[in-house]
Amino acid sequence: MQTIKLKMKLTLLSLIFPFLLFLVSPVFAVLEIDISGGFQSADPIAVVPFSWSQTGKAPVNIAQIVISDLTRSGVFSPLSTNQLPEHPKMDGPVNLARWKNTGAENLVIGQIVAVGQGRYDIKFKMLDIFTGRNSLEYQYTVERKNLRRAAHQISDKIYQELTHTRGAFDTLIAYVVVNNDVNVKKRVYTLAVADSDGYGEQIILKSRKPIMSPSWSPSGKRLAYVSFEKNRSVVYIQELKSGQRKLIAQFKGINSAPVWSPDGKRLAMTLSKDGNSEIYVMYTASGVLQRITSHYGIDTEPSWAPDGQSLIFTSDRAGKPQIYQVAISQKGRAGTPKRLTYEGNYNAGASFSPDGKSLVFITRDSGSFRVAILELSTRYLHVLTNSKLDESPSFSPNGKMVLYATELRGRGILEAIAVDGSSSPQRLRVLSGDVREPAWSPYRHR
Amino acid sequence: MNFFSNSFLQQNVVKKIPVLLIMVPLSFLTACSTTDTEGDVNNAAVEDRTGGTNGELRPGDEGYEGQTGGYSDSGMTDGTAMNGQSYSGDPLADPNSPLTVRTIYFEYDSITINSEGQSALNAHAEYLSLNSDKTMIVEGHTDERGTREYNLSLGERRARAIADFLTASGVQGQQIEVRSYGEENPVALDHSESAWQLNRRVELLY
Repeated sequence: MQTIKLKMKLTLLSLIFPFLLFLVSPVFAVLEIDISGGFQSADPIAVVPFSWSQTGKAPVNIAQIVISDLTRSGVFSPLSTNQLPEHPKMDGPVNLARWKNTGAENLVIGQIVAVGQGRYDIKFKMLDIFTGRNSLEYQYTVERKNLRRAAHQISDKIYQELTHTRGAFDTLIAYVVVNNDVNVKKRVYTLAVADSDGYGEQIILKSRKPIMSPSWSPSGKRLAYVSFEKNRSVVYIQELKSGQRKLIAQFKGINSAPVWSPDGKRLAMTLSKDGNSEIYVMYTASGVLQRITSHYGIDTEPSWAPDGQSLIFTSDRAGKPQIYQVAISQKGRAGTPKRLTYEGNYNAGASFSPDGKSLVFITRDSGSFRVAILELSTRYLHVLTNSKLDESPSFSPNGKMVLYATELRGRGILEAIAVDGSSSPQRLRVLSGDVREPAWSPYRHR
Repeated sequence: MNFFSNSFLQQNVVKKIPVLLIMVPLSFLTACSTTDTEGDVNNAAVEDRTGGTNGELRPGDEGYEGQTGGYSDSGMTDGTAMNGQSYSGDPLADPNSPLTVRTIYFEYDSITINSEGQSALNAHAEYLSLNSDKTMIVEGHTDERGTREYNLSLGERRARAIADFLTASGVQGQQIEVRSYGEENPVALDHSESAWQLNRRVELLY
């Protein structure tokens, strides 16, 4: 009797939780960064280890985080520890003559002080080695859990001061990890979010069924994604902080490719409820749907122009997948789609650069699928990568880097590459399994 | 499954994780052994079979349905009763029936059904026409090349081509459900043409 009761309970539970969320080994999906190759024409910069108010090691090595951020940007080449002639303190003297010999033009000095109750004061300044003047000086008071974030904000300040472009280190990336088991039943999909350098991973969703196409809301507070937990593709919106989620599209057929409009009120997506894949726009608050495309070919992978007045999408209406653009009026009426790509016979998965001047997408280039950038004003197509199976490219919020998924020696990894081609790609991989479907967050609100 | 709100769901998911750990394997059992009238239980059972008939089997395994060369059913030998089920008179369970072909393969970026596929589909169309209470999920898949979202649509288009073939052969539209997994559920994990051939497929799931 007891066992029957238990079984009924379990049956009931399995009805309430039809999608299979569960735990697997905890150290499973941690991203590892591997900066491969060198950088041409990167500016040397000196970042001195931050002094620490107590004995022993500081809880976080701020200088090391800043150094690796600046290195990853491809713009800077921080001096190695043995190239530093001295370790000046925040308020101490600096022997500028010695620094001039290092070749570095700028010197970053900082300190971290424990102020009690788990809080820390971080101060830093940047000196122009040739004039001796302070070009930057900032102070932060943060809890321990925000120390790494403070370090990324310091990197952002340095980057902005020296390049006049906003830094994108204090941002997040979303991605999907799968332990690609041969046995379909043993596959586990994890949607996760981590800092832009791969640290601080938080798990958003675990499922036995595929997860794809995470997309950030403009506020950075929510993700839309596609999950197969109902044995077909449906679209969810999930709030990151609370974990609350809402099933936003489960029409007959495909529900997929969600992307937020720049105003955060609408979600463009692909639905096949009316027969085949078409682009729709949904007002997320009301659920009102507007149909954007109408063609018997495949129309999918919508992406908004930064001004919110048009969408680009992939269509094979001319036979092979190419990128098209369609104007969307204030009232949501769609214009006539206009083809944007003509080079090659496979161009798909496009998104706009933040300034709206170029597109990044996947192009088939001598039989391989590679990341390409199309300059809209000149129609110049620039293939950025040299790999075989690239997917899901997206711009960093400052438009300087592109993050994408690729395959290396049989494993799915992420790579980030400078848009101007100045650096070789840096790799993010998981300790075991494949990582894919990266999406770079918008700037974070402070 | 609209009787619970999403927020309810989420909160419980967070709190009940240890319970779920125990529950998940059992839920498979209960899903298979209990009623088929509940939508989600039914789905779970169907999906279970997807894994059973496709995910675990590889060329040479008993019950492997397909096509060592990729395109023919010559790999089907005698005595490969599906999952050890005994033959009960239903042609679906007859190891010598053309209905044992449950996977149709495609060329790259193509939705054209080849002649082997057509002859298998003719048998399925006849069976479904004679057994109007039977239903089939037609599940489209692609290889990994190209973008995931485009492949999801391509997989659906493949499945729809099969569904159209079946309805043109007299099967009622209500008997068929079209689904797509795109490139998300590969049966072969290599990044090679031989793996891609096996992954460009439509599965016929009764």
